[in-house]
Amino acid sequence: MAAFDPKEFAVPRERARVLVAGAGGLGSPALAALASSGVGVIGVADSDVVDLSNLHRQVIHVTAGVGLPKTASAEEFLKRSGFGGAVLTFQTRLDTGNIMEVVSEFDVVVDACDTFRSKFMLNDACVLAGRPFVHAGVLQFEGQIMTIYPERTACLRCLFESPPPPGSVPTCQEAGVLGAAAGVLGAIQAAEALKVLDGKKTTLSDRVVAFDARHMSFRTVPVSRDPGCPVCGTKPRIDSMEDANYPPEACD
Amino acid sequence: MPLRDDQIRRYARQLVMRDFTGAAQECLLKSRVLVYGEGPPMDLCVLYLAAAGVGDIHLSGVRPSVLDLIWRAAALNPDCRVHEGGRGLRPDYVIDFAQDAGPGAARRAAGALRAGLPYLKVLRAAGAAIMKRWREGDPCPGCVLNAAGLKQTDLLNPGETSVSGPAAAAFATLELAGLGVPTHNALLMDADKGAYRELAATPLPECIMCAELADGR
Repeated sequence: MAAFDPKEFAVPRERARVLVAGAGGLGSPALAALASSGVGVIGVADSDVVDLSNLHRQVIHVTAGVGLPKTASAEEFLKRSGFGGAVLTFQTRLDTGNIMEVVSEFDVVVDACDTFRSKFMLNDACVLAGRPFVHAGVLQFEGQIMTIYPERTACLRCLFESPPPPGSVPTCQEAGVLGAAAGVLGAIQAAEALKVLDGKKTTLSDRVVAFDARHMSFRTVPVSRDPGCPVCGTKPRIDSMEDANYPPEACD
Repeated sequence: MPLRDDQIRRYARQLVMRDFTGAAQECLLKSRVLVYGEGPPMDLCVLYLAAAGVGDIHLSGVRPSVLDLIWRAAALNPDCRVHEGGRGLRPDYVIDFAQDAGPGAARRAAGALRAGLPYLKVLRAAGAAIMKRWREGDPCPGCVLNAAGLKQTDLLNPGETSVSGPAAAAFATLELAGLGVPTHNALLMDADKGAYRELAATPLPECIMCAELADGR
């Protein structure tokens, strides 16, 4: 695959529009970092309300906000933090019917979702819409992160063709998560999103960085595009958002 | 004291993790952490410590936004109390975010080691952060900074990354809960260059600060 210039995805900070998909464990540190970054618009998408069990890791929310939509709580946090740009909230579940429209409004997307279904849906929507995005996932003490330039660098489906079968991987609810581990990954996601906007060549594209809080270690694994990738390969079978490509999660 | 029902709900996602027992949570709730320095990563570190259930956090040093941080931590978790100042305190853990790799930092490290306290140092320079849990015989903060290819003057330009805040909180939380596996090496987190790795540091020849640290002065 030919090399590309990340400057083709660069946008001046003051005009830049960043979507944080998920205002939870990953979204909280990402939003905290983006609040002072000088970007023009921050979008926050989340359909959940704040729960007491969120607060050991979702540090932008507060105890008095339990029961409020996370989007409203996140907007309140951004205002309190002195964010000078516009905030767009999407208090809805991103699904095959609306995700392309939402993603297309932004220059870069931060994947702070908490289900494989959402992560694969976001991957496909960003690739199809031509939007760079920063994937991360975290469970227990560990997590991983990768930045994706659509049809330029490896996407999530280049690594894993489809989401794991429902029930085969424990959820955050079942296995737990160290709050600050999510904090590390989310903060790196924000840094990556800003590097995408700045057109820097040092993003974590075509490599996965894995973090292990228990051993306080990082590991970098090089990856590359898969010509047989179902969404960004040479003969993609996914060319639109169809429910059949996203099996429901065990807990859906 | 056993955890209350609301605490079991609040900390449910960490109590369900392997090895993270109710006793580990009770340890956190009883622990006292002293934090030096200021800046967005320090604020984020304090919030993650508060969220995890650290009982008391003492902020040493003057910072304009301290009342806002105290309010935010209390609003996040009423189990945690954040205090201004730490004079005369006997903490269980010391985290040093002060942008200082000179004699002041070496003195704080030596003081903590002499008192048998865990001491975690964070330095930020040019978009990178270096984090190290200090032990006896380790090189001084200045030599660790040098091992990362950075200079004291780079500390004047920390860059905008906030990764070191939650990273320091993760290390301290695990250690206070009795789950940490401390690493001897420093951790380099260079968000700007996309480099995340361990960093081996050795004392520079004839470094006076390293000698002082070794003497525990």
